[in-house]
Amino acid sequence: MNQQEWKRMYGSTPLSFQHRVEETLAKGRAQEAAGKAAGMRGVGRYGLRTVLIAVLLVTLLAAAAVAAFSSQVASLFGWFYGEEKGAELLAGNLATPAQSVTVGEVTYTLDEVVYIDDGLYGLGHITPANDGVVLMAEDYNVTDAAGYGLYYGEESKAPEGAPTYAELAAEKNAKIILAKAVAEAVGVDGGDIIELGTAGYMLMPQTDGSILFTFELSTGVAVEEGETYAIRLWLANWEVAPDGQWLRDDPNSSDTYLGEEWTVEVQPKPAKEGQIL
Amino acid sequence: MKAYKRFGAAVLAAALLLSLTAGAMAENAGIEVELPQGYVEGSPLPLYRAQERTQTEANFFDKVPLEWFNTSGQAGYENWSKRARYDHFIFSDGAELNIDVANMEYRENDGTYMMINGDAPNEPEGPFARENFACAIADLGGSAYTYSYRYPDQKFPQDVKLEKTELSAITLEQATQRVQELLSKLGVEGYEVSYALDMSVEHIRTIGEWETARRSEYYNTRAEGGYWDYSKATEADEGYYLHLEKRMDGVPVSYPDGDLFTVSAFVDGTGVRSFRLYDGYVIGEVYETPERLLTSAEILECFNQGNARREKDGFMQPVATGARLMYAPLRASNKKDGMALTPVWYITYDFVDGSKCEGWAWYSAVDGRLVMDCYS
Repeated sequence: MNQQEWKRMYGSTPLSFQHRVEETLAKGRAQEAAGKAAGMRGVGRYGLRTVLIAVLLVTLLAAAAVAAFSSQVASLFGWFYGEEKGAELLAGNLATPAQSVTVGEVTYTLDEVVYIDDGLYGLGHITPANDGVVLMAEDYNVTDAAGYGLYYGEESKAPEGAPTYAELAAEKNAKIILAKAVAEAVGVDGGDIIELGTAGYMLMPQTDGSILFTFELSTGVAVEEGETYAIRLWLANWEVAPDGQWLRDDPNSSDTYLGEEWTVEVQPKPAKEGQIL
Repeated sequence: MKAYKRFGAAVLAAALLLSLTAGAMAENAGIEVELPQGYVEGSPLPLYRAQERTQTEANFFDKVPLEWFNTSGQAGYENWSKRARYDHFIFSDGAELNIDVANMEYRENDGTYMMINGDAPNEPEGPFARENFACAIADLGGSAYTYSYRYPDQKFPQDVKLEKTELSAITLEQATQRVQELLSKLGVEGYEVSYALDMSVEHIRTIGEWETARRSEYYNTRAEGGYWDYSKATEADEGYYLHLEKRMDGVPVSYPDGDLFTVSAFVDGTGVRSFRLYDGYVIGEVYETPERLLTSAEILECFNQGNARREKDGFMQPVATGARLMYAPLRASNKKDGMALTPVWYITYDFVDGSKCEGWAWYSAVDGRLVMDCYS
């Protein structure tokens, strides 16, 4: 399986992550330009050649690594926790279930799960099941710019004049649905599916209208080393009125809450040179 | 990264307590080792089958006559769960009983109050049910348990300790018996008192004064009509606050990922006035018995081997300080057999992360596997 096939299987790299990488590259270019303007003080001819060779080597190694294996989980959690965690996840056991389920007007897809010795890490995406839906993530308001993150250092990335969720929904004549997916229990090798005491998760809006969801399930009673994992997620969604009111739990409005347990079985395997062994 | 927590803030379930019925303490290379009474290190302990209480299995639903808690009659019912079942019963006298798959809570109320936020004093929230004086005293007992015993706070009045085993309307023995009778009716076994405090008039006033000051120091809110005047407590209000922990064959039972085995109650001369139970698993017959268990010294070797990983995660200079033999539900050796109550070693350790911190780790006493560490 080559990188293109991987990409087709996964979809693209998370958009917010792409933006961050692009911004970093742009920042690097700007610093490089500033360095040139300052005359590259402190780097002599020999030094510059060494630097260029080093850069070339790093680039080649990085290219080789990308050609060998790509993991959205490693990219995302590497961004969140640092390169070392990314490398650790890249060396972990990987499964790409790419299974989907639709709850009401929202489709949930689990893309990738990685097991390393400190737990299970997973990533998927939530998409509208039809054109009449604008998705909004938990902890966002209808007045926030649609598709842009507000947390994890992504604040203020929205361009000037970006439409809000309420404006986008009005423009498309669509309803706003708040959707979430949270992993809550795990089974190992056909054993009991045990509730997790604690589970980490993120829900990140994307500019294509989807929501990226992740989970991080630490090793403990429920999660331990095994060959197969049954991961149970709780999928839920409900409508949000244009004024921001949640259409649930209020006896004076309709209750649009939908929820469903979803158990996905995965069999993470070592990944090497672009192949799942 | 958000943390979805099922069991509340008790991740350090294991900061488990020196029980009133504690076992033997020993030293191992400067490390405090706690063993069940009469247990010889390395000797075997059986593993028991364990069934997690769930929405469909072994739960408390439909098994608890309301009269066990309150005879005023049922006035209302709500299912508090959006997705499954979480029973909320309301009694005619305003008391409430909540029953979930593995836990239940009973409390009594008296009127309502409004919550005033200091940042928005003109926008009171409520009305909320106000707990009655007995339940307010129960909460004081909970404060004493938390701040003098579980997470000791130097500011807490140091002289608040169990003093009287007899109060005017009830004795400690009678209070314990009433809680044990209730647990027995609920089919919950193995709980023993690990902390008890006589809520005498003196203790009610002392803790009440401290709690009132703490509340105003830490919270920018005011419960209009919600606070009781503890200085008005009389002998008729006295009772016992009890905290109980589960034991199996004399070995404390706990859970690495939350507080799954605890009971707390306030009992006065009229009965059980406040009650909380969390009993996550039903324990069954013996599953298997290993030839021997790993000793604390062997587990400390496993611990030391894991220090490189701890330091990689920023938990620098880890040094074990304590080892306690306990039981915890883990997956059975054949995972398809479900869960088994398994002997584990609970290790406490110091590490440096800028300053000195306390960590913990759980190891299987059967095979030495690291079950959970605070770094993960």
